[in-house]
Amino acid sequence: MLFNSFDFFVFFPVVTILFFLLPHKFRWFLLLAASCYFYMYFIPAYILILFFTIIIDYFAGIYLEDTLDAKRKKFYLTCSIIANVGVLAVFKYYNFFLDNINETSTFFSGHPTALRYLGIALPIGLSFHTFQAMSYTFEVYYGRQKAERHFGIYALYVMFYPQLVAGPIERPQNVIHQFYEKKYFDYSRVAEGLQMMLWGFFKKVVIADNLSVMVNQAYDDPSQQSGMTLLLASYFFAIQIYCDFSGYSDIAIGAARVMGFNLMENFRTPYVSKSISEFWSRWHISLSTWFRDYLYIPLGGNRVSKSRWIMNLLIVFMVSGIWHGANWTYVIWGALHGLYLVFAIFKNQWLDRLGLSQKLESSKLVSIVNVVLTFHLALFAWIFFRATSVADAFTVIREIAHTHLSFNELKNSFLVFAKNPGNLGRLWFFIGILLVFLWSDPKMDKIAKRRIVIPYPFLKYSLYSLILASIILFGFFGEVQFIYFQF
Amino acid sequence: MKKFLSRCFLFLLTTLSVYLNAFAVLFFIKIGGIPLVYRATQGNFLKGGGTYIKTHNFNIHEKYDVIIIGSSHAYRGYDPRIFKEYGYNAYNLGTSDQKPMCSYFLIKNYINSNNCKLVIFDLYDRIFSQSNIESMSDMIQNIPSDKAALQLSLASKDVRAINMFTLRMFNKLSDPINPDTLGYIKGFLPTEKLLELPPKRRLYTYETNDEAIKYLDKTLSYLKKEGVKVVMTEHSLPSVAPAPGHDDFRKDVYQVLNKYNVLWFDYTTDSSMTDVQYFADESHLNVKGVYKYNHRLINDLIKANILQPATNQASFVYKDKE
Repeated sequence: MLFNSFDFFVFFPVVTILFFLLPHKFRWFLLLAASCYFYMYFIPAYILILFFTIIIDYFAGIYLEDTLDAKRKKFYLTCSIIANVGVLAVFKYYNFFLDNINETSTFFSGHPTALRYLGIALPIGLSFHTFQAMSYTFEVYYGRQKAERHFGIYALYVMFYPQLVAGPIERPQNVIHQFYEKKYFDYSRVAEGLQMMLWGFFKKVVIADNLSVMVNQAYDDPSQQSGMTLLLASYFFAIQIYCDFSGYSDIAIGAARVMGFNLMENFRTPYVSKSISEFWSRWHISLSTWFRDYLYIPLGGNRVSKSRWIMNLLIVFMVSGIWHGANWTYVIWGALHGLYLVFAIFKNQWLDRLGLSQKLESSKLVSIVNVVLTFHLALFAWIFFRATSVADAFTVIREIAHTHLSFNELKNSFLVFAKNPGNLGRLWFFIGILLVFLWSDPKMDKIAKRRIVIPYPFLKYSLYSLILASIILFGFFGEVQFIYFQF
Repeated sequence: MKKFLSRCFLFLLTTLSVYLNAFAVLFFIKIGGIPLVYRATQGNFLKGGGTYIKTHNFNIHEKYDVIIIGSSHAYRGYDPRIFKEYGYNAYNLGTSDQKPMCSYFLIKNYINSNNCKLVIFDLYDRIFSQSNIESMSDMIQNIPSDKAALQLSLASKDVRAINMFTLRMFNKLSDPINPDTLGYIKGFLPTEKLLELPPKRRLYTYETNDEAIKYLDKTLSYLKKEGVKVVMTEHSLPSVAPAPGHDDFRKDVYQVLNKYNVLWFDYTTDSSMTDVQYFADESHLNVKGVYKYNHRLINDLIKANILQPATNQASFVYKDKE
């Protein structure tokens, strides 16, 4: 079920009301049933995949806790990892691997292999719930989490509908105990959750989905577009993906909060980061901390030789890239971020040697330059993330490199986005809304997360009414999925 | 809880007020003579045009032998004057891109056992496979009944349809912007054009649309309850531009038709009518095609005992007679 669908508009209040009406001991069952229904809205049969990993990890957790033998523990952990990664390998990566094998085979022998492609659709949010399930077995293995003996509660941990298909990728320590806690209807908490959801919806349907039309238009066939059109589309995509994914996270966190559950923060205005490492502490926080805890640190992190440290960074970011999708474009996207971080290591060492680090850190001008630079580094990597192929990504870069910066070019690009001059008014109107959004987003993010409190109720009502009215008036209500659903 | 509900009510009231004020601002500010709301929001239709004319000219109290329902295939493909030749009083209520949901609300609000004997429901695969918004917006803006427009906008479960209904209310006092009265003959729009070769490629692929099937079912159920006869029709398509996925479409539609024992007169691939000379474009008949097709259809309906031979045949002679 999509958050931005009429069905969710009915589903959410029904489930929430039932949740508060039911006695505490039945609530886990309601949430589990609702989560199954939510997931089965896409392709019902795929729930079996979810059940398969849930059963494996449930028992793996119990065996991991019950055994004291380190070798056996490793064996159980390996079984769990193989099951989870195996599901990903079959459903997400098999065709990609086969593509590459066939290309290699064609290169060397002149013909592809006889292996057949799988004609199946990718289960929605597969990478998310698989990683969430894996975080449970890792935590039990490291002894930081007790194995969950209640099968229903464990299944709910993996399937909790607000974060089932696109995160945040939770940790068992943060969530499981919350299912045992009795939740009461608390006005201010419910209002907070709803306000957060509303802001998420605004980002999704007003900003991201309206931008998606223009981005798709440019990126669907980049060879037919001018450099200026592609440049604008790339800027638009950077905003689109932020609004799309952070919007989803806000809705998920808000929906859980209404029922009294606290999910981890997933975004913290990433485009104001002064460095790429800061960007990753603000962008998709639940995934970057997952990779930090379960891949980067086990690999040795930065407490190893410099060359090994660099290798660790590159591995983590390339795996992060392939986590996003079975395409070389994602691998390159991840590798670019890895390279940015490697470059930052050398840069920081060089500045330290010159004794400039502290001086530069305190300079406001340098901060601004760093924010702009970091944003553009992320933007460059987004080109690979959005392009449908590596060749397309290079076409986009080549065309952008040959852009003539002129008013006429800009005008022509807006005409391309508008499709016909009659739509230009709507486009300018939308650009106005976009500029207001970009200006207000850091403040609104803090308001939605209660870091700033609006003192006057009238002001608060007006603000959220304006957001809701804007969603109704300017929202894009064609069929647009969340970008991260495909991962 | 009480506090929460009262605050929700207050919030919704504030939102309604903000929404209506914003709408009013966008409606009353005009650029190039057109309210800004058309330029600033999505999916809005002007008040006026073919749907406005044909639905306003339709007399709900008149007794019709045949009413034609459907999309542009319908309003360009069924000429009430040819039906008149056989003595049948017909009216064409086909509207642009009319989807089964729109057809349902149109039929439910305008057709009953007192004003219609037979509904000819023209179907083709594309109206089952695309978004509803175009036909919905057109109808919400232009049909005479507020009730039907409200029903349609609520049933659509689409926020754009709610905006469209608000726009309809704002438009109450204004005249149709684009009357476009020319050419419609009892809802039928004739065209003399000839299909340009080579034909354009069809870019859509047919996919089962549960909502369309649901509304087709509801339509047939309503007509059965009203005692109004109904047949499905689909006119021929040019041999150079065949409909892909037509077999899947037939399978889906027959599931519903069989339930109500409704016949489907499907001429999609009828070789006597697929020559390019009968078409204005890849999907629509021209006057020559309409003439041939309508005579054929009427005769087939008479043969199937769905239309009774009329005694008072008119002496109308079609100018483009073959």
